[in-house]
Amino acid sequence: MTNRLAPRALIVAMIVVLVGPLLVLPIQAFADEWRAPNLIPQRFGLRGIERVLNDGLLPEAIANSTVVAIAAAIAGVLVAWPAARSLAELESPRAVWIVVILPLLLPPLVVGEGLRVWFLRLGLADSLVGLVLAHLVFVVPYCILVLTPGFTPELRNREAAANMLTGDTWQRIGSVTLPGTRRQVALALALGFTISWAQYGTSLGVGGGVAMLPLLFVPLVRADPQVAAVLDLVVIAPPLIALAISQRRSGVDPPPF
Amino acid sequence: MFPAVVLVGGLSIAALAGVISASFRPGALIGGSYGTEAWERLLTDDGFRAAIIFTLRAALIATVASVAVSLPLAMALRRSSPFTRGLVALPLPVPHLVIASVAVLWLDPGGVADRVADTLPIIASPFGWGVIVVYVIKEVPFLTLLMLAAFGEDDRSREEAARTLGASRWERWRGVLLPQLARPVLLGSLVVAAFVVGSTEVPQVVGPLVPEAMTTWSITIVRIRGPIARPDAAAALVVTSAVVLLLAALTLWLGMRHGSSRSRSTDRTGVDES
Repeated sequence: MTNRLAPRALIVAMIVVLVGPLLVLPIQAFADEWRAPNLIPQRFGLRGIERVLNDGLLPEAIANSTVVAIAAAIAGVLVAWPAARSLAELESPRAVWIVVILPLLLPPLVVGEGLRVWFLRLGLADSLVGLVLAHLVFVVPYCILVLTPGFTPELRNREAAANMLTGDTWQRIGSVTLPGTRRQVALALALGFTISWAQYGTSLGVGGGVAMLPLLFVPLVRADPQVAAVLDLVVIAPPLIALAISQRRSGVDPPPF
Repeated sequence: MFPAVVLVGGLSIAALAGVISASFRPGALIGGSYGTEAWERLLTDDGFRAAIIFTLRAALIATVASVAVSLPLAMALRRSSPFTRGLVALPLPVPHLVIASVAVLWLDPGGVADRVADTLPIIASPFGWGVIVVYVIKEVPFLTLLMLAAFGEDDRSREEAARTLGASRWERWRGVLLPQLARPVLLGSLVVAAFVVGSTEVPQVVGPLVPEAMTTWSITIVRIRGPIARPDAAAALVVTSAVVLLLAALTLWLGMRHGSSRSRSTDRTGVDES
C-alpha cells in the first residue's frame, strides 16, 4: 500500500508545486487592489487590461512581437524543411544532430549583442527584419527537431509512388508530403512562434530600440504586478496552444541526444 | 540541409565573432583601434568576479536540485497516464520570463507564500535562491521527460526479468534502470547548466542587485557607465560564451563517448545492451 502511495503522493505534490503557482495569474490580472496581508484581493477590476490596451507602447510591442514571431515561425519551417528531410534519410544522423542542436546552447544575449555589431553596419539593427534573423538562430533547430520525425520511410515510399504517377513535384508535395506531415508542420509553426515570441536576450541585443513584448514586460514585473500578470497571460497563451497540439500527436518522440 | 546549416551556423559564428571583436575594439564603428584594455579592466573587476561565482553556483545548485527532484518523479511517472505526464510537462513550454514573474508574485516579500505560510521571501536573495527556484521549476519537467523517454517501452519487462532472476530492488535499480538513465541525466544536466549560465531574464527579474549574474552584469555596466563600457560588456559575454561552450563540448564528448561504447557493446554481444 505504502509502495503505491508514495509515488502518487510525489506526483500530486510535484503537480501542485509546478503547475499550482500559475493559477494565481488570472486572479492577479483582475485584482485592482490586492495588498498584503490579505489572502484575497480587496477589489477586482479591469485596470490591468485597460492599461495594456491603452498604454502607448504595449499594444505596439504586442503587435511587433506577433509580426516577428509569425515571420520567424514561417521562415524557420521553410529553412528547416530540407534539413529535416535530409536528416530523416541519414543512416547515422547523430553527428549532424549535434551540429544542429549546438546553437541552442548559445546565450541569447550573446547572439543578440554579437549580431548587433554586424547588423549596425548592415542597417538591420533595431529593425523587425534583424529581429527575425536573430530569432532564427533558436527557431530553426527546434523546427528541425519537430519536423524530422514526420519524414518516415512510409511517407517517402508514398512520395516515390506519387512521383511515378504524376511526375509533378508540386502536386506530390500538395497531395502527399504536406498531408503526411501536417501535424509536424503545425507543431513546428507553433513552437517556432513560441520561441520567437518569448525571446528576451536576443531582442535586447539586436532590437533594443524596437518595442517588443518581453522587453517591456521585465520592468513591469515589479513596477505593476497586475499589468505584468495580464502580460503573463498574453505571453503564456501561444505556448499552451503549442502544448495542446503536441499532446494531440499520436506519439511523442524522444529528443535525439 | 545546406540552408539551415549556413543560416544557423553562420549567424551563430557571426554572433560569437561580433562579441569577441567588440571586446577588443572599442569604437569599431568609427574605426577605433584594437586593444586589450577592456579585458584588463574585466579581469580585475571584483563585481565581475562575484558575478562568475554567483552564476556558476546558481547553475550547479539548480542542476543538482533539478536532477534530485526529477529522478524519483520520473520513476513515479513510469506507470502513469498521458494526462498526468501532460500536467507535469505543463511548465515546459511556459517561457522562463513567465515562471520568473510568477515566482515574484509568490516569493517576494508580501507575496502569496508570505501571506499564506509566512514563508521566508527568497526573491532577490544575494545567494541567488530566486534564480535557483525558477530554474528547478522550469527544468524538472524537461529532465523528467528526458528520463521517461530513455526508459523506453521494455523497461518493465527487463525489470521483471531481473526480479525473476532474484535481483533485489537496489540491484534492479543499479543494474537495469540506472544504465538507462545515466546518459539522459548527464547530458540533460549539462544542457540545464548551460541554460542557467547563459540566462538573462531570470536573474534580471528574480536575482539580487549585487552580486549579479554574468549576463546581467554586462547589461548593468553599460547602463551605469554608458556606451564607453560596451567593450567591457562584450568581454563579459565572451567569458559567458566560453563557459557555455565548455559545457557544450563536455556534452558532445560524453555523447560521442557513450555512443561509441554503446556500439562496441552491441558489436560484442550482437544485441543493443543499453
